Amino acid sequence: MAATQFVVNGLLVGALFAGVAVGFALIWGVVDIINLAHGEMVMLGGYTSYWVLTLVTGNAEGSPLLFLATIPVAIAVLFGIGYALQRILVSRVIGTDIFLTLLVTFGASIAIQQLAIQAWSANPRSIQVSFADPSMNLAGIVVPKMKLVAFAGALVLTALLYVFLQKTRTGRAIRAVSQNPEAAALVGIDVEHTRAVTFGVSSAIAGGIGAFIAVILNIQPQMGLIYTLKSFVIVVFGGVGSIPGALIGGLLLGSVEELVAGFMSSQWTLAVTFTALIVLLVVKPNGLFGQGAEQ
Amino acid sequence: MASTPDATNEPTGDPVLRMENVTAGYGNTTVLHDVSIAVEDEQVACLIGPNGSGKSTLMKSIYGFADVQTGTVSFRGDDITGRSPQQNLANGMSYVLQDASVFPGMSVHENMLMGGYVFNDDDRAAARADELYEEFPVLADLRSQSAGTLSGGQRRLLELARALMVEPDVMMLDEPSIGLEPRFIDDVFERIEQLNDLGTTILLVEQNAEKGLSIADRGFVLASGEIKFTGTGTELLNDEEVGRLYLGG
Repeated sequence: MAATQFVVNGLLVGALFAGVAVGFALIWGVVDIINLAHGEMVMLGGYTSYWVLTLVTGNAEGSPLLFLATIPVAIAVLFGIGYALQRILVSRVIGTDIFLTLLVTFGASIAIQQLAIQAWSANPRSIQVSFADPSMNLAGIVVPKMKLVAFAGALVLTALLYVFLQKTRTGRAIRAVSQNPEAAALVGIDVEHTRAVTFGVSSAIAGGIGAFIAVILNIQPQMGLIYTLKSFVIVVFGGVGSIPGALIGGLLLGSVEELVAGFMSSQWTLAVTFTALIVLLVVKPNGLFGQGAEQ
Repeated sequence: MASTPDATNEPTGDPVLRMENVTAGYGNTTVLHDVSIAVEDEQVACLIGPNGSGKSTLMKSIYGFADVQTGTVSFRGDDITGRSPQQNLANGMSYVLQDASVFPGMSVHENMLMGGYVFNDDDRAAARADELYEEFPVLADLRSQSAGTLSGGQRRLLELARALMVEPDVMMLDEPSIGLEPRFIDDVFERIEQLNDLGTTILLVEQNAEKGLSIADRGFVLASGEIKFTGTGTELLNDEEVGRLYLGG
């Protein structure tokens, strides 16, 4: 029963990891950039939701519905930040040496962290959402309601992204740029704008997930790095360019981490995660679902 | 035969596409030097020359993929120097690259629809694709197949058909026969002639110089980034020096 409980806990948190990683994978596939500032979009989304709720209620507390109403704001704000980040900064290094792109996005990550510390201090914060009964018991498995809401929210955001990419004109443009940027220009796609939209959409999804994280965990200015690292692991694990791979990779990572923390110690989670990644890369170098940037 | 363009080799009609004294390249690298060409409406113009002579760069400098450092490119009398590919497509020019330019993760039909991306109207794009399937029945049979699994000849046909989605006035084709089996080469050239018969102006870069010049109203020989010879396709085919230097005897 304990193992089942750990797996359920892992899946609930893993959906959040997956949602963040899907955006990371999208930027990697379309813009050909490993965005080391992606975790900061999670952090900024959390703070946006926190401050919107604080402005409305005065103390970052509210009902589940009131909290959910802050998420579109976080998504919109982070779309704008992501779009601007690509257009102003990242676009200048696309196509250059990979180390330069890593350096630029790492620099952006540090700058955003420092600005956040100046703006909000390094103290952890969280959003308090009031449930009459905060958890429920399903056949002996305890499921915190807010984690269930966050799980559903992360899956909905990921599904919306998938539908957006498959069914909308902009989504098709994003897929076209990921597969062949020069050919995309040939058919009339504004490649630079599309790359910026990709950055915006990926940041928006990360921001929405950040809002959920602000409820079920804590937010603080330096939280971004761990989400960038987890995203990297998930994307490599699931296969670069595969959104289903990122989703399954996220759920697996969450489950493995909870099992390791439950049966061993939380200190072992990163060690086990990265060992599993190395083993996978040796056995299956393209990841579980890697086929290039087919999405 | 003139070794550089002069009045006797200028087209007699109104050129639809013209490069005047264009020097172009990529960043600080210059590939083309003071190049002038003119392509008349509804004609086939063929550009030949050895590898590395700048043929693809010439096409790219017209379409906005390379940097025009000096000189002008004009389309129907309008200066289009430095315009983006999107603007050139909107003006009625389409371009088929030498390199593979399909979207390999999309089906043949999705690739066709992407050719009509500028319509901003899926129904219109689908209707135009259906028209083209009648002209390219092999693509109709493959419409659900992933473009990444097509053979070289099928891929070339898809690229041609996709470029026709916008019903261009001018088509620029970079090495349409490269890497194809002989039966596909004949098919591709037949298509090019059909398109021209329907009124589409063609600017063609072709490594298979005899084949290219045989269908060309006007030909240009490019070497070391400079136009060395111009004339009608027949004149260039029959010219001893062009034959010795560029046609293998």
